[in-house]
Amino acid sequence: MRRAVLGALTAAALLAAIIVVQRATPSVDQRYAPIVSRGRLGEQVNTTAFQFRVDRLQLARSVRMTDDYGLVGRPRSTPGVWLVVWATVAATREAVIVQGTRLRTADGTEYMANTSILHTLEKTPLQPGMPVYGPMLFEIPEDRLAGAWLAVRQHSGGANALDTLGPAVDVDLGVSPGHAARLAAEVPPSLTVGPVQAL
Amino acid sequence: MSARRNLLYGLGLLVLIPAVLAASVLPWREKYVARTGEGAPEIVAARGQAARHAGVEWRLTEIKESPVADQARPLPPRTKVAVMLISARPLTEAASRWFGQETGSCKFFATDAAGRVWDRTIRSDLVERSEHSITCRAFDENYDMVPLPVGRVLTIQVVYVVPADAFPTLSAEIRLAPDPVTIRLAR
Repeated sequence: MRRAVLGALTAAALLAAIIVVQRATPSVDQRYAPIVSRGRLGEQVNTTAFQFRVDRLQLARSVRMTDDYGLVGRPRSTPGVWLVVWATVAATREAVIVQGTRLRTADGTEYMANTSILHTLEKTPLQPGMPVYGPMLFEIPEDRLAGAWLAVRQHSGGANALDTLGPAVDVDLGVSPGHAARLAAEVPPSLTVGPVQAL
Repeated sequence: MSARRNLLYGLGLLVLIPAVLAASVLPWREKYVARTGEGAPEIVAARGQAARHAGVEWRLTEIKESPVADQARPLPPRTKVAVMLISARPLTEAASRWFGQETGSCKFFATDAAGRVWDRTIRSDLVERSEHSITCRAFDENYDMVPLPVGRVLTIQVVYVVPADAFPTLSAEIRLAPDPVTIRLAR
């Protein structure tokens, strides 16, 4: 009798353990998510593959990109506003490309960095020991800036699928609703944006 | 008797679990190595020595700092142009044919004592064109790939832009595919 009770208790305990383990098991998305380091505007965030710092933000109704030779491109307009994120980034050990950067707004909506305008940080190859400073461009609705985060991902070339497991950076852009309202009230009609520069 | 039986079960599990784990993980390890090159077998040649793999002899002939060509755009600050000359020589008939094959690849990297790794530069304006090859493939006058005769040396020129502090300790790394092998040639 005593043995039967002990057996039943053991079975119940094992069942409870199985349930706990199943509930605690990360989802597929969590298991394959990048390993994220977090930081704030102005703070350098270090990962095993790259270092990243957001230096400043600018808004504009339209942007004109300058190339490496100082030639200014045609104006690019948007139905919303352009958010220009200026950042300093450096590869640490091997060459990397920052690619697939997103702006995540307070409601969880994500906006991809513009890739059709050249000379930005997006898709710029980075080599170790050679930091660069440059812009990333996002088209966003004017009222979505408050509480936004920047999600920075790397691309190492050949092993694309494995980058999802690699290091990544999330940066709190530190835009409070009041700050966002002030920025929105002062959006210039046009902004000339310089290219990526080696530091 | 029961304890002995339990012990046998336990020992069986100790053998079975690692075997199942190995059977499920090892195929993925091969794929990982093939895709990333990390964990691939390495062949290391000491300074002045040649590395041999699959009948090919690899040798780091020279690393020199090159002045920037007159018409070139400026270099990033605190960097230098490093020109590496690497020789590859087939020692067997099979290796000779390898130089004319379309399949497979060789990627060249520069590494320094701190373990940093640089890709070859894509800038073509930095140094004057040379007569050396830029890849580990042999071509005829029509630019068709052909075998490299046994014993003949193919000199490959690879250009890097590296931080000035890395230049004194640069060495060469060659990653071969599809059967991943990393060849390291010390300076």
